[in-house]
Amino acid sequence: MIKNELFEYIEGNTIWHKAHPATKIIIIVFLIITSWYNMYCLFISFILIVISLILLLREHKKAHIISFYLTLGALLFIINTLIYSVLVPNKTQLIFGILSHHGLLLSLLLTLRILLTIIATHIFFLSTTIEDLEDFLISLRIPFELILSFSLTILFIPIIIDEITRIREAQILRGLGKAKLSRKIFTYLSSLLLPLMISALNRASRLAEVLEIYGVPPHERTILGDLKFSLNDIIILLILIPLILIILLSI
Amino acid sequence: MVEALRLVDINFRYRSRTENALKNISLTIREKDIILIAGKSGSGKSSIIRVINGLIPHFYDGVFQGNIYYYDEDITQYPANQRYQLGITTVLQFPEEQLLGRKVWRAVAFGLANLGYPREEIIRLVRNALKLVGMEKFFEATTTKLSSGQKQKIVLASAIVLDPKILLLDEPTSQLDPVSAREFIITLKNLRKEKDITIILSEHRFDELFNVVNNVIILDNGKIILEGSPRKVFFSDIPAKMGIGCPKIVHLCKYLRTDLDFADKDTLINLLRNSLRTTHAENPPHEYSFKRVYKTSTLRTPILRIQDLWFRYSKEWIIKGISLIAYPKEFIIILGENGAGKTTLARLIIGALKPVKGKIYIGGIDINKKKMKDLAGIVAYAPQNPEDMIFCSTIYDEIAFTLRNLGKCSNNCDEYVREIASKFKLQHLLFKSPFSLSGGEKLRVVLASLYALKPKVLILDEPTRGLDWETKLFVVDEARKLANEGSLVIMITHDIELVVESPVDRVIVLKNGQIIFEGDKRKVLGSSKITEFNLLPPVIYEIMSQAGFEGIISLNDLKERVIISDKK
Repeated sequence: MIKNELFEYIEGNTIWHKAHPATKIIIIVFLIITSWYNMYCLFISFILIVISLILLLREHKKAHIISFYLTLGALLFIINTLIYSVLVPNKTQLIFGILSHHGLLLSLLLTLRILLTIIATHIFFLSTTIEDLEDFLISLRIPFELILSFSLTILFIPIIIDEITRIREAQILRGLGKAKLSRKIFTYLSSLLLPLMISALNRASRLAEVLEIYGVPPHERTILGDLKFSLNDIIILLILIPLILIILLSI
Repeated sequence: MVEALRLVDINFRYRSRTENALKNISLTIREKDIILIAGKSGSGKSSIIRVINGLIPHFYDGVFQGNIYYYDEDITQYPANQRYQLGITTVLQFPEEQLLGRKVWRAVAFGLANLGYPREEIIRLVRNALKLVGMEKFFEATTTKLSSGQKQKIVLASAIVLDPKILLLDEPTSQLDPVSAREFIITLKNLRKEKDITIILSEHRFDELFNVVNNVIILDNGKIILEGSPRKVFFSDIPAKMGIGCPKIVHLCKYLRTDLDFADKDTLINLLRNSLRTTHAENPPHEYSFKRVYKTSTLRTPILRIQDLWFRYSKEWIIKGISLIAYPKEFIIILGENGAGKTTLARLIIGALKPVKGKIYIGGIDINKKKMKDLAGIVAYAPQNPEDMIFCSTIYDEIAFTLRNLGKCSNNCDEYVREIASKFKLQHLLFKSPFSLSGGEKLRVVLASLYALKPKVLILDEPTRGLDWETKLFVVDEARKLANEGSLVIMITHDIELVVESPVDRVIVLKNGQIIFEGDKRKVLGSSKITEFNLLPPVIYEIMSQAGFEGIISLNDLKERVIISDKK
């Protein structure tokens, strides 16, 4: 089910929900960058991000998202360990000359950094409505066509995923899974992709009709939301203080 | 009355086509009229709507001739967005694709924001529009959580937010269930009472519309072949000859040989009550054994056995303890409101979902223990949209694809493919691209490719949505034939009038994930209980029951059960 929830906003009243999109972007970018500065920054950033994720998911009983990240983390750790142990040979070999202490450490750090980036981005989408993001981007004078393409993509992701599932099920029952191996890849791809492309083109054409009628691109679009910086934004920015202190002290 | 719109000698050919989509269309529409555009799929209904809203020729490229006048102003050169600002607005088929916002009010405000209206003014206009369609409580709601019917009302609100003079609707109820469709049409009627608005709509639901519209235009192959009052148009033979169907009440009036103005339903009911009650009293009602067109299965070994099935996606149970036994040669229709669990049940039967509790046996095989791919050839499934299955370059390959995959075509299956194609009247199209076909033809290709497998169980998930009446009848007829050849055919539908005409063995009604009725269609469609199931009763039943005759769901029932002595 995680595939359906990748860019899904979840209702809530947490400090992340109340924060201005710009504040969230500043925090997320800062955490991601500082995580590469040193190990302490990485651990603090990672803890902050995990706490934020738990805070956001607490009321929504979405434990499967946590399980998803644990699985992803384990998978990344194994891959990274193997890569590092080969690329960065170390005298302290653990098993059959494949694993090393050094490799394990580097792998752990890289895994945490990758996870941090993914979770931070996820937190942004979990707590930011597409409307708030749209208004924020309009206020930055980004062309509305670009913003609309982005927001429509996010709006239509669940519909497209459902469509892929439907097409796949219908084709499997036509014996797709039983095709000869030589034909399998080509048949599999074409039987899924062609209907999907046709459907996407039809949908795009119908969407374009609607956009044409409603006057897209507009000369000047009204910002419908009421985005303002508030005290909440200042409070949430305070979480960056420990990181800034560590950086200042280590200089 | 003031002339709102005039189309003069409109001809249009899409760039990719060789034939004109519209041929010499001249039309005058008076202010405050409600016009119904009817015709078969591909007859040019959507093209006329596009000509009026400006998508033709400014968005759809092609060869265009003619002029359009809006309150005597020549607007031929105005693009769609300019016409929108002038007061010509459109509601299209698919509600999801017209709601360009997550929140209801933002979706309604989309067009206004593009025109640069101040925020406060936009909020005021949006509130007014939502009030007009009875959705003011949903101002802050999330669009994805609304039903299709509610979504289409929101689309209507976004169309009328600028107080337009002309409202165009292109098959607005084709994606809605009958209850939502009726509600939408009532909303339109109320809107017309509140606002001096001209409404032009293309639709297939004539029963709901015939006493709402005041003019009907019948299109065929891009030409207007008949135009006039609903009475004039539907009492003529043309709609029936074209296979686009006719309101049931017209059939009833024709049968009664009455020239009654059918817009007056109450008078018709009174006439029936007075005329038939005498006859009824003279011939006391008795149990009639209905002539069954098709015999129910005589083979009593079940092909499908569902035992205490439970399923949920998250917290809420979608399927609650369903048990069902079905036999080969049976044709079953599953009815139920949106969200009743019909499609989930179908996906459980095809093995796409695994039940939380319970068993499903197909031909004695426990499908919970099987992978979906292992059920290929045993179970076949036609999704709602036939385009979800089509991908080969020719119809021949499309039919042969399934056979090749399942090794049923190892040597030469040419003869078999041709035989199947001819069975589904596709022999002349065999080497054509399936993508170039009409909706009904694509569905035939899908049915042919599934039929080729001779599956034990065939599931059709709302296959007739948006099709014209003739094609709908073709689909149920083919489903019946497949069942007669030994398959169990299960069709999911919302279309009550189609169920009335379907040669079906059994109807199953689902509500809140449970089977609440199972049996002969007459027992559910010809009973006052139907409204308790959140379904709309058949038109004939509605009229006849109000006239005091229970259990009559079709004209055939009427012919068989009631002798009309006084045909006035």
